Amino acid sequence: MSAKVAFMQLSSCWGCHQSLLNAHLGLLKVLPELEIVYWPAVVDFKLESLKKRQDGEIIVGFIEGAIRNEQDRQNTLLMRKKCKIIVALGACAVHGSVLGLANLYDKEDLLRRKFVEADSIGSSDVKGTWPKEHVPETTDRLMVVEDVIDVDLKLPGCPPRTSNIVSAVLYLLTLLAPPQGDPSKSVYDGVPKGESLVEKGELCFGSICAPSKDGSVYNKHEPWLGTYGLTNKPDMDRAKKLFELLSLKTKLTEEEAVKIKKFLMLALNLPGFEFMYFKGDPLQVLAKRPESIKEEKVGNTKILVFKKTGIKIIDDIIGLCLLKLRDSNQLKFNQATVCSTCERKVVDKTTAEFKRDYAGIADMNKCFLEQGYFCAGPATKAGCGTICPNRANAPCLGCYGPQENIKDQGAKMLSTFASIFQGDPEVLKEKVLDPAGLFNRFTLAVSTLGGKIKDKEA
Amino acid sequence: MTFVPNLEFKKLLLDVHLRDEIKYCYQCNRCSDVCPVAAAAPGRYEPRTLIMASFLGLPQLALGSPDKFMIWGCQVCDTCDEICPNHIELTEIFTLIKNIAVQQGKAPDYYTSQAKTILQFGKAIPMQPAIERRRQKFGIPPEPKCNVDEIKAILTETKLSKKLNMEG
Amino acid sequence: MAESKLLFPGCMIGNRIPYLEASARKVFEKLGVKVEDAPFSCCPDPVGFQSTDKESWLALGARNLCIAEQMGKNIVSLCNGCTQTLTAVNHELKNNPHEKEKINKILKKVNKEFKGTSNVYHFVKLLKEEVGVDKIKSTVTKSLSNLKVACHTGCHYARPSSIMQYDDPFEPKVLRELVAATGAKVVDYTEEALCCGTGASNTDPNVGLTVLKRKMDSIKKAGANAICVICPSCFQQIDGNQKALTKQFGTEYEIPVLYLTELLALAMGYSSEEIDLKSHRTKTEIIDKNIGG
Repeated sequence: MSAKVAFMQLSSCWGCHQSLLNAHLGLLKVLPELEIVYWPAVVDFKLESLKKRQDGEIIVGFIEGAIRNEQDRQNTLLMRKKCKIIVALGACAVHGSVLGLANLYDKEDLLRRKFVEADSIGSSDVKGTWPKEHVPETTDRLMVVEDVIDVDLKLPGCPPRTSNIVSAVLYLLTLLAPPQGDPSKSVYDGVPKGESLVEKGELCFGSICAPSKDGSVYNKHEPWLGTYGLTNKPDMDRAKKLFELLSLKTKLTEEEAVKIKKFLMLALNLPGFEFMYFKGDPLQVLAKRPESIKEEKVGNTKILVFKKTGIKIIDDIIGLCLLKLRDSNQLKFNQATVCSTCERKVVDKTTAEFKRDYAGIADMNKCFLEQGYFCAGPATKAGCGTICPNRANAPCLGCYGPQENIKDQGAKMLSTFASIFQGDPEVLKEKVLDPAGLFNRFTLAVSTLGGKIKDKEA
Repeated sequence: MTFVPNLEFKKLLLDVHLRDEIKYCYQCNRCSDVCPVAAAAPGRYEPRTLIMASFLGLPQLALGSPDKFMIWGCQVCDTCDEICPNHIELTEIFTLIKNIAVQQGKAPDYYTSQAKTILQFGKAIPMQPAIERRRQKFGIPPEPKCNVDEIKAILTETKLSKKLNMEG
Repeated sequence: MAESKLLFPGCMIGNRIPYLEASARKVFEKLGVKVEDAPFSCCPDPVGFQSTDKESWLALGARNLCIAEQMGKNIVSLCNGCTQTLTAVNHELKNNPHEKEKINKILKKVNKEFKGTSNVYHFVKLLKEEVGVDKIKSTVTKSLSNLKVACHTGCHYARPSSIMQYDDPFEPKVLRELVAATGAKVVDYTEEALCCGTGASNTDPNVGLTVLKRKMDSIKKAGANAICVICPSCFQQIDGNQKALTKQFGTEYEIPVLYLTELLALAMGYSSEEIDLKSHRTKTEIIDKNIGG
């Protein structure tokens, strides 16, 4: 049984696809599991065939590129309809990439520059206007995929590294595996009343978890943490006891928190990967965008909203677990930036000068910031292995974008640089000729301002 | 279908890996960048792909490989876990995979024969009369004999012979 | 530096290359370090045995620690691997109550109980912290200033740093200080933190040699005429396989290898016959030529 996948290209350079194809023969392991139903760059299926599919028929849809015209917008909406899981592939799709810098100009200015004023246009039949027939309408602003539809998984990077894309694809394939446990039973079935750990007051998730197909024996000395996933038939009495037990805990101990984290990782089959932001991973969402999960009440107990299984008691228990993790400060999620993977030596991260990266030749062993070169490493999410500073003697441009909990990469970088710059601020003002292009090179479209702001007409 | 996650393995992995912090892997490749074996045998051994397979719950990608070196290339030099920015204990995870490989009968001879020697003599390199004579010549005292019965008793408790597939 | 410590030579030194133990004992005596023997078993090997079965590894390591605990003494080890095993087992059981309970259940069968009251020293740590560089300098009677020594600590001396907690995992300093204390010159070379390649050789000798070649090329380029090691596996690899490198890759090295204890013994005035340098695989005549009055 192979999974149907589709690859959509919006306004993009196709570099992300090249990064995927860079896996070369490694793809041979994965291709048999996939049925590619739409990929304009590689196979010949037409857009019409995509439109004719059933809604939700395609399991994973990859969207590369940003939304620059109406056709891009329509294609994005189409993909959301036809695909179960949407992956925003690459900096354009996730953050807008350098295309977002166009938002600093009015649409008319952009079109005029491209079709009328460009140096390559010369002949006498140019009428001083731009094509309007057989050409999709340009949108007012460059938009990212999430501006138009819900995105399940974001893979940033310009391009995302090959290993990142392959790992994401493999992860999605494991999600499609059939359940290995027996979801028609719970681990507690057959455990006599009073003998389960939860009835003895210990955290154990057997009541809401599936046992193995061959019915592995529940070890009454060790808490069950969800090895075979969740069940469809929870043991209601003991599940309620578990909920009660959790709700009475004012502050989780470290050991209890570890149990809950292990349970969530096993039962929900969470990826252990951080180069991608996956909405289906409540631990990552809780760590990075806690404000996006709402609270609700079950009786007198507050929980976080979690509706993935459709079975109320299980959703409630998981929601309660997440709330307890959050409130007990026991989530402890490690995040890293590009600096963590950099080989260069840092002595004292301060500088009194500001150099453009073409000035002189940078010392290959010292931190760029210490040498006065601007490097976006401190404000950029890790995942690329710092290849530019480590291998190309080039400072980081920030193409992976910020960590998910940072709204504006440029603002973050600006404040970082300001705090280490020891020279005269007037020098910076004079030397930084294009702050938007320097600090928000890949993320202007999703930054706080998002582009040029016009005063309202009086 | 090869991409069915091995959930028992995932549980064992989390026991080793999740102590108090949640440490996700960035697949940033620093581990492979610094690994001396990956540099000496490109394409045959890579810590990053082993971790990817482990975190996905797909150890079979490594265990099923015809080249044992994909797992046993790791020489426990601890360079990768020292450099990992998220402090993931790669070497511990590789040890887990190696232990499983041994139980599946897929270990190189060096490892199984060393274990059998320890089981028999209590030492990886047993004493020999020629060495005893050399020690005398150098004027160093003879080595105190270790209690092999205790070793055997302990290794019976840990079921080492069963793990080495020695029992009939 | 008063109390005596239990000497842990390890299987490789004790049962295969005892001349290293001989030089260690001589050096310890000159420096006033008191050591006793104890009926230890294999540490066991952190590369081989741990990869085979971690539980057995923990249990046997804990048993060795129990022997030291019962005698109320700390351990000084001559070998990187043994130091790492004993330190790691100590660390794991002291910090993980579940694991400690499990292992003590096994140890009960041999009437032992792990408590975590003994500490483990690498002999390098002992020499630096308890003997001190000055004391070592005071015992030097021969000039070694013509020796240009490349230091190789090996992997298991300071890594993983969260467990070994001594010296820098990538730029170790202590061995360099001890070698410098003998009057020999310490040579910088780029691949100082690189592994010697023994571990990989267990599965594929060619790969192990490729790793070793990278190390040896770097040492040769730096102009060293001796290499100083503190681990018997590294010793066997670097001392024993230089000819194999020549056979495989065509490059010549012939750079003799000295264990730190041998280097110290030479500085203290012992002759190369007294410490049996001729047993080395890579010829050590250069050493003799470079030792002054």
